Amino acid sequence: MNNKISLQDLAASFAVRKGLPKKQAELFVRTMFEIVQEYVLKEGLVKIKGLGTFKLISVESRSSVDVSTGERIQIESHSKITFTPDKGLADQVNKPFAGFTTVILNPDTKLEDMEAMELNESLLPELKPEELVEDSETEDLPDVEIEEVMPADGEEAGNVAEYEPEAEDSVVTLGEQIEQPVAEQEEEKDMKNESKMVDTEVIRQMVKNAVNKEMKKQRGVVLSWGWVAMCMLLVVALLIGSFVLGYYMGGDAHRPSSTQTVESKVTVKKAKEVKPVKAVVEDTAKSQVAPITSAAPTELQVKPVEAKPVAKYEQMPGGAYEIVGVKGEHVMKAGDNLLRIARKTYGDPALSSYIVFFNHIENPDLVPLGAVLKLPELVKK
Amino acid sequence: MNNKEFIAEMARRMEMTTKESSALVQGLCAEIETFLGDEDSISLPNFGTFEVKKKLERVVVSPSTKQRMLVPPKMVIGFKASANVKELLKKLK
Repeated sequence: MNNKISLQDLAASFAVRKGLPKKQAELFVRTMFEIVQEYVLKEGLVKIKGLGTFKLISVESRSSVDVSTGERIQIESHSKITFTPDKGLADQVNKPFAGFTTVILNPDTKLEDMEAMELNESLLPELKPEELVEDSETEDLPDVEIEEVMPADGEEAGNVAEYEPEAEDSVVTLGEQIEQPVAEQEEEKDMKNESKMVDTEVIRQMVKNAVNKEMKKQRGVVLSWGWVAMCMLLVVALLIGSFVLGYYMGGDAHRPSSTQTVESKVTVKKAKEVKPVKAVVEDTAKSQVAPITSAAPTELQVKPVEAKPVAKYEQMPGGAYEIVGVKGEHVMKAGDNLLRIARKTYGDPALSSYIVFFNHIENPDLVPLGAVLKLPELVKK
Repeated sequence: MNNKEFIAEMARRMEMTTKESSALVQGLCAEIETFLGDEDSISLPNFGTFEVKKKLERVVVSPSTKQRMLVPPKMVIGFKASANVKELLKKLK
């Protein structure tokens, strides 16, 4: 997004797509635009299928005002090159807005009304934390959100606004953090499930008690503090939940996977929403099935995570970056290449070698369509 | 210069058949398309810069029917010739 692509980048990407040597690809790109330039100046028009039309047009002389001195000046007539993209290219670029069409406005519609509405919306920040909580729960990934809220415990209760960015952050990072725990969960899932059933019963009791106590305390508080109270309750319940868990699970509870999973159950119970639990289980089931059904490369990708459950990843020998986690996933589509993925993810195509290394790709020029690549989280050493 | 002539010229300079050059030009156009589709800007030295710009939605009034219409936002490709091409244009006059 919004990267500056140089001729070299374009040529490199083009070389990969067409299987050309890099030198030749670069020469090709250079030659192509040399021809366009030469002929657009000579003949005034160059049409290239799939790209568009370059045209030489003349601009008539006009009078204008000098911006700095305010004098009237005459702009001489001159020529300039215009570019009109082909339909296909224009549509591709306009894809985000492709669904929109021009609509005839009702003569009664006043634009001032729209602006007023926007203002009103921005005046309701208190609602946002709650909304965000709901959002993240429906996104199947409750546990991370909780982690993010916990540090807010010590803060002043009145600072609702401060909860906002944290909750937003959590929504963004959900995808990144959930993968690892799920993978770990696979191994010990069966064993844990039984003990968890018991645990959650106990936790539920504890939470209920805590909630009741808090409710009594909060009853006198003004209505507008309701959201604050909700947030506080959540945090308190969580703390208790994790303490109890730590007690019952012993050393095992220090592992991130088990803590997070049960924590998520606690909030779920509290919010009287059973959905996320199901979702977590489903996720687990899915990732269990995946290695079996998909092709060999996918199996390879899962291995490094499973083999080293405690957030330790195989490191690239001699690399300037350290692999500290999984940033996200990418499903290979037609026309994708590793350089572009690396550019989009890290802003640097050179880091594609880490994707190759992390996913054990044997031939970087030949990654099958539909292959799911795990993108490593990189930290400079 | 139309597409056919362009492909032929391309083939002549790269010393390949028109078929090959046609396929490669097509591939390069697709490559440019994906980059611009990602909202990247492509700058080519001695030629110019392609970039994607967002045009905001706006209200227009049809001159014939006097109806007010809301035109949706859209993304368009802008092209800016580089400085030395502009110089060449001046000389052309």
